[in-house]
Amino acid sequence: MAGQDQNSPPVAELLAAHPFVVGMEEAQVRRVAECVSRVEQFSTDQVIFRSGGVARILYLLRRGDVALEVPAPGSGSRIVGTLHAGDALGWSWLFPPYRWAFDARAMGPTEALIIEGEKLREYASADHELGYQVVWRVAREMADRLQATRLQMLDVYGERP
Amino acid sequence: MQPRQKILVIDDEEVVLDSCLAMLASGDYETTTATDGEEGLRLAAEISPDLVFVDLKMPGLPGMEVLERLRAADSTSVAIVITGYATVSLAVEAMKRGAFDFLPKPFTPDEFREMVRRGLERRVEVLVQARERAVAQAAGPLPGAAAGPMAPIPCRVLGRWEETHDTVSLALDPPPGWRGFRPGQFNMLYAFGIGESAISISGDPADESRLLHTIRKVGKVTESLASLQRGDVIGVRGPFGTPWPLGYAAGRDVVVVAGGIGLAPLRPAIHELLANRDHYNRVLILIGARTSADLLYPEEIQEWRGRFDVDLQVTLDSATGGWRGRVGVVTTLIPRAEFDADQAVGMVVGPEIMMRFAAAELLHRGMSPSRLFVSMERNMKCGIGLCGHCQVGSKFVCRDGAVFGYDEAETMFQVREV
Repeated sequence: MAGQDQNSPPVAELLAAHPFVVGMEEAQVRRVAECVSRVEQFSTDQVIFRSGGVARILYLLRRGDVALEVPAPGSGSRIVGTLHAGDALGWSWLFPPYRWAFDARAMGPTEALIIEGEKLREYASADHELGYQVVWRVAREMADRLQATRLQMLDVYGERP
Repeated sequence: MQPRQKILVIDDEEVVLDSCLAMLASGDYETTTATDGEEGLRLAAEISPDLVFVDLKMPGLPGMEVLERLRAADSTSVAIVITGYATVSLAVEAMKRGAFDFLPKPFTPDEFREMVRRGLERRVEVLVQARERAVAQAAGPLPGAAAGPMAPIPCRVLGRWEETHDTVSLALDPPPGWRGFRPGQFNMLYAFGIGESAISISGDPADESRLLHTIRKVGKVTESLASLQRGDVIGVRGPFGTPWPLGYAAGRDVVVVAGGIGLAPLRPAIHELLANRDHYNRVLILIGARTSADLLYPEEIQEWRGRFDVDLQVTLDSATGGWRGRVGVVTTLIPRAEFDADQAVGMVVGPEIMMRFAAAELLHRGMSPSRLFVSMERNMKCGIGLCGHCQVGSKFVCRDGAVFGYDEAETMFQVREV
């Protein structure tokens, strides 16, 4: 069940420890911290979001593993990738039409910082330095995953018989 | 106390020799200079330098010939060519003749010192490989030596089992005179009447009772080998090839990266790493497979994963909702793997595309190419460097490999076909 751990340190501290903000100036981290609405916990197999749903949140994973899935009729779902503690989950909140492209499911007990995407977009529009930092990080994540996806498509472990 | 490493610089320009001496003065090296090729070769024979810089354009004996003679006199010599005529074709020619690298004039002190650092690292690697090769050869001379190295020795199949839908393991009764193998070595397996194939030895080197090979069915010979049954007879030649640098890795972090069938040639190394676990610092085993059904040795993986002193991670290219592990190619495990890149040794096996990307990630983490090793398998036919089918430049994959330092392998990866 989703919820906030009341014993957690302040969200600003949690945010400062997350790789997503490493390299940002302190003032920029504070602005991002203003967009953190809560820390949320997800239990095993809990769906975090579903494809087609409105994308409003950037999830900064602090703990656990998340599967990005596509529903596959007849076989439940196919996992297209997994994300892990330290990763940023979701960039659909940044680009129109702000809809999730995949399902996200917690593979085990998972904890994430919840960043309100709309608010962060507003801050990024008003402060292009901050905007650059945010978009650069999302772009890096996208580039890493694009490369990994290309390798998956190459079927690098050898040809099928 | 370690003896000082010896550097010999051969160049006809006194000013170059003086500046090299000045640039090396701050390091703890024993530096010698020569003003021509003949003197350089004489000094090399006398002092056995760890690293030789050779000017390509000198009066008298040309630099290219110096290179060749250095190599002929000592196959472990590491030479770097320096010249004012830096062209790609010259560099390629020098590499073919055994140069480790190429330093165009003019060069800065930093460039020179970096080349010295890399050259000396390469020397250590080459010496370690030579030593491990000597140990491997002492451990397992050709069982068919009496009949000639091309004569396969008949061995009985003790057992056969399916590993995955396209991969089979064969347990063989070791041939008479078999004295074991070193992890990383391979045998030539002969399906009588069909043909031979180079297959890595995939079992525990400490297990003398059986000789394991894991065979992926990719052609006529491997399909024939994979269809053998208990009691059938197979021809074996070997063991051949260079072993994994497990001695060199002692005291260091070891990062093993296996993709698909690549786990088979790494499994003996993993067995040895775990059997001598206290010889090594951190041990990381990163395994990638297409799907869970394609994963080799799942029970052993579970066993290894259960050890508190091993960091083992498995990732699949594709999975259904029931999979609880990672999904993504094996290279995605490297950026966050916990190891000390400044001293770690990497051992990577998989298809070449995977090895290139895995190597790129390890190098990006800061691992030196001289501490990164890959196993290449290309068209090995004779296993002893005679037929030339697996020749890449000046190397024979079967004889000089299949385990190569990445310094060498990177150049070979550029050769699309052999």
